[in-house]
Amino acid sequence: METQGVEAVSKLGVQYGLPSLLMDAPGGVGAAFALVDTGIAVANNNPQQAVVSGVGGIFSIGGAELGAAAGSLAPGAFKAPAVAVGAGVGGLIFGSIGMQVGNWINGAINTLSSSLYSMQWYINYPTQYSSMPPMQSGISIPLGPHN
Amino acid sequence: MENRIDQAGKKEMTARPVFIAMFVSALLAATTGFFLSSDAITSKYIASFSSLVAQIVPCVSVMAQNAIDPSRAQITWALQWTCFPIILMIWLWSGPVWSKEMKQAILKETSESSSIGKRRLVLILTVFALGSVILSDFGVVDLWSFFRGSIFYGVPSKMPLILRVPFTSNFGMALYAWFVPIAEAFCYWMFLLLVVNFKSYFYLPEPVPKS
Repeated sequence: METQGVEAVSKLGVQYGLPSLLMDAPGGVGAAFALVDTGIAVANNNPQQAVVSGVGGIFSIGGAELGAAAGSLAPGAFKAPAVAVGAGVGGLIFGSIGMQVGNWINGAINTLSSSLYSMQWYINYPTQYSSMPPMQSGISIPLGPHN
Repeated sequence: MENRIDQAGKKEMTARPVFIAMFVSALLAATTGFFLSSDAITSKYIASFSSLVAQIVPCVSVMAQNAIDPSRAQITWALQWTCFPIILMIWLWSGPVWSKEMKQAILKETSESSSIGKRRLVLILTVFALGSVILSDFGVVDLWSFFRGSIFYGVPSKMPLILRVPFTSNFGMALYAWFVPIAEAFCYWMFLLLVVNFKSYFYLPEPVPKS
């Protein structure tokens, strides 16, 4: 019974999942772009790029779906080109918005970590606030005035 | 008009001219993006043509400046943007948004498909999004514009891949040079379609369930 269930799910996945990923291009292509790009950024130890790519990619997936829904308002023979182009337009517009949002998130993370860094320094070395060394990437704990 | 006459004697709209225009545009993009010789790229006449288009369409310079082969990119984008008014005319000619046939097709199509709430939501969001693209083209607002290339503003290496593709290879450049003017033509056609037929879309009754 269990095997049958797994087989049925696999069959559904192969029959409908893959074609929908490939043929229902809007979300599928956006998802592939986002996954690959975020993966490369993570592998290259570039968290800021990973945030921009991830958020931009997620937005482009949603945008492509919205664009396709918008294109589907076109009647009759124009539905097919309108859905295809609409998905592309939505993906690009929302990808662009997502990139900006990703940059804002990076900015917010930087501000937060820099504030935490300063705060930590001030708590540990209250009398030597002026000699605080600049925050280094990947180090969130102040090393101290003598390091 | 490219409308066919069906058996009942009614005009039937076809999107075939739009597909043909897209195909011809793709051939042009592939030719200039891959096969244009270096002699042609350095030709005075071609360079003056692409410079002229670049002065009219800011997107051409934006894309060319960041491309791996700026001269080839400028020619490719300039030629593709020259196709934009032609593609837009073909969209409007084969699918006249103001025609009675279009209104009938909308009534027939949408009354069989989505629910009222979803249709109205998508309609309003689409009019807003496409309207913002058009206003950005004219410089009224500073949001996302294909014409000005503002969708691609920023440092290409810092962009997500989907926006970085046109700067990374000649293939990506040709692909986006082909797609962007088509996308722009679509935005104008779709916006006109929705605005001209807004009432038809908005006040359509709930779809009748199929028995």
